[in-house]
Amino acid sequence: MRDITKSGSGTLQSMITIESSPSRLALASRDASNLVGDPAGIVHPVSHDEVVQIVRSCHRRRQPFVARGAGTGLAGGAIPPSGALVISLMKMNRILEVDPVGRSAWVEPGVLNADVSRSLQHLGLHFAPDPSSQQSCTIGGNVANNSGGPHCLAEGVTSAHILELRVVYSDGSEGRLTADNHGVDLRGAFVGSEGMFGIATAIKIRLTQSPPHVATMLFGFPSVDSGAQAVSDIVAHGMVPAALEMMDAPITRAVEEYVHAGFPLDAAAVLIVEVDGLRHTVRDQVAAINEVARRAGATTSRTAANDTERALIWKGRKTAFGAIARIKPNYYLHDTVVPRRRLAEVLSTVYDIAAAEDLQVMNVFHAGDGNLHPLLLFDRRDDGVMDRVHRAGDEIVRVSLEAGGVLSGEHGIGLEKQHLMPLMFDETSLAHQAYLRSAFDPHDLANPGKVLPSTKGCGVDRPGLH
Amino acid sequence: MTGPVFTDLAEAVRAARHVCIVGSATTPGAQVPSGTLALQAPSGIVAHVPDELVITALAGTPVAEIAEVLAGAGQRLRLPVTGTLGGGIATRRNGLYSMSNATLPNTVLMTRSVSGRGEVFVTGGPTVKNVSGFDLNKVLTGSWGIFALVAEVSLRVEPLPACTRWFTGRGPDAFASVAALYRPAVAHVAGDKVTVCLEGHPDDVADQASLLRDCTEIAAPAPDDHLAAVEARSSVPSIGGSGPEAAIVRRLKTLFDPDGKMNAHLTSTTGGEPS
Repeated sequence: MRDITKSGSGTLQSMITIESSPSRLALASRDASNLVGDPAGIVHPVSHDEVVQIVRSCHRRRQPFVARGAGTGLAGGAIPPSGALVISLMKMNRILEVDPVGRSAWVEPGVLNADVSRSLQHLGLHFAPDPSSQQSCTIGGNVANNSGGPHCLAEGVTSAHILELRVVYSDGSEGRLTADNHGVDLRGAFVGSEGMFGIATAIKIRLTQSPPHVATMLFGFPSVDSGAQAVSDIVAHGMVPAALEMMDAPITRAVEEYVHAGFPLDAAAVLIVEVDGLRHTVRDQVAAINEVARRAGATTSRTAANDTERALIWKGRKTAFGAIARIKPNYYLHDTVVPRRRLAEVLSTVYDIAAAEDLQVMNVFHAGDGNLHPLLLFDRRDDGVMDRVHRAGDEIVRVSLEAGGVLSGEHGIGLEKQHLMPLMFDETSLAHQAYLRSAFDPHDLANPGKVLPSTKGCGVDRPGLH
Repeated sequence: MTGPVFTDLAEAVRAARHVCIVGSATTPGAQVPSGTLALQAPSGIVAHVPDELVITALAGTPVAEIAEVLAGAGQRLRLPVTGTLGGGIATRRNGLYSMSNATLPNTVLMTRSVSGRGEVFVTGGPTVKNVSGFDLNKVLTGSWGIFALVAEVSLRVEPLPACTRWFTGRGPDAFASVAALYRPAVAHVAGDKVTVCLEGHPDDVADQASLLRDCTEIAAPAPDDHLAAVEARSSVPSIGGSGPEAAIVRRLKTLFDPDGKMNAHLTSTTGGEPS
């Protein structure tokens, strides 16, 4: 273990311990991706000032650092490159101040997403972005990833809910990011920068009024096409529901066995539609959506009668990934976006890709915005399976891009999709993204070697792929 | 990735010493200084895919033209109907929507732009959900063209509400009644005056309107009302400030526009409004 103290200034500084025992390093080496890093140590600051001290120390020694939240990231964004210091923000987990009138709150980065909303329930307020990992992921992680979630369809992604950021830059200097820093929206640039622009030590979040009325509907369709048609028709009717989620038959079966939420087992596709807001809006939308579903050929339809039923439906949707552990020990959750009208067609291709690599696949998707999450199931002990899993994954991404989509809807680029960035952006466009990164971190110390493909021959190696 | 329109613009930027990006002169400071190349993005709607809630248009397109096409499909963009799309993006012309949840920056999905290097680059992506790479859309929106000329924009649009009503009010009772509303589309505060927009199902709008105190119903604000609103636009970037954020803005300027040719007449070393 090593202590950091500010050198030479004569000011009394707290002693901050860097942990480097094998068990601590093992934890710090991994996130929820399949990748492994090689950190020099991990440190747990409890305050903004400690973060400043740590980063200044890193800057003095030109040591890269990686800010870490709950480690739920799937793209390897928190995987530390060789010799990096992992700066865990998990001990900075306080809600600092709440302004119910202004509908905002200052929170530390280690506060869990779901805890924010739970704490504010009594004020009739919540934090709108609701990724499936919300019971474990942190607001700091949400900022780094520009996280989404089912309710982002109508509410917008995390970026729309961040008002201000207190940050520490890679040279240890301190600042505040707003939508108008000397005329530039540096706040907007920082959100989604995957920890590569600095560390947010306090985050001012927008709070959303909780709706007076909510209706959650569950439909079963005889085919993915008919479900997708219903989704299109809902949008064509001028409605943007609070959430519009689809699950295919394999994942529905897996979930129902685990959660018993009453999902129809005979449906090829299950659609969850939630509408919320004022009384007449909700009533009319429920009627219209039921009619749309009926005309599209829904074989079952149900509206949650109360909060308990509603919570169970969402539990079914959000714990889909946990449910599949009963089927295979390992899974790879993918994340691509395609134009909504291409969803059914791309899904069909995803089944073909999985079959060609002899892999099982199940799908959930944010049907309202074309964000597809194929789940490849496998047993990593099977010979050569990882190659097949990665080939299938790359092919799924390629097919999505060809259909007019993008590389990632929610999980970010991290390490996982770094090599695929040239499929979406040409060299000049990537260079301009590099300029933005360089403007924030000219020293290349904040989570280096992620997102943008390396143009250097040497430099940070991609950590071990497992 | 690039068509003739964009390569022409790129060549023009490369050849020029100073570039002044011109829209439709809606914004102060739009006079072209002498010795400067006035560059204007072309006009035209490239694609409108109503069922994807996305529209793509060249930056020189009048907002009025976009609004009309969208209205024809029962959709809209929350951008005051004045000037060009590029002008609205460059100045982050939120108008009275500036204090709402749905501001312009959150609707910009993708741009094709020409940096001060005379290079065409793409920012963002064509879908409403996208976290691929860094968010250059946010850097370009509201930075008054000092980094790049935004030539083409894809935007997320939204359905037109069934009913839209505007109100203004003054004084503590008005403010308190507005605070009790459920998510008004706009609740814009300027001194002791609050401007409110209620949208949605007519019966819900009527219910919400009945909660207002010391408020008067008004006609939908004209473009000038939007332009006069508090925080109607972003401020003009300054590259002479102090502190880490000023240093970031300066580095951005140097990297995107090493020769300082883009809208030099707007940026000053001391900041403030354009001349």
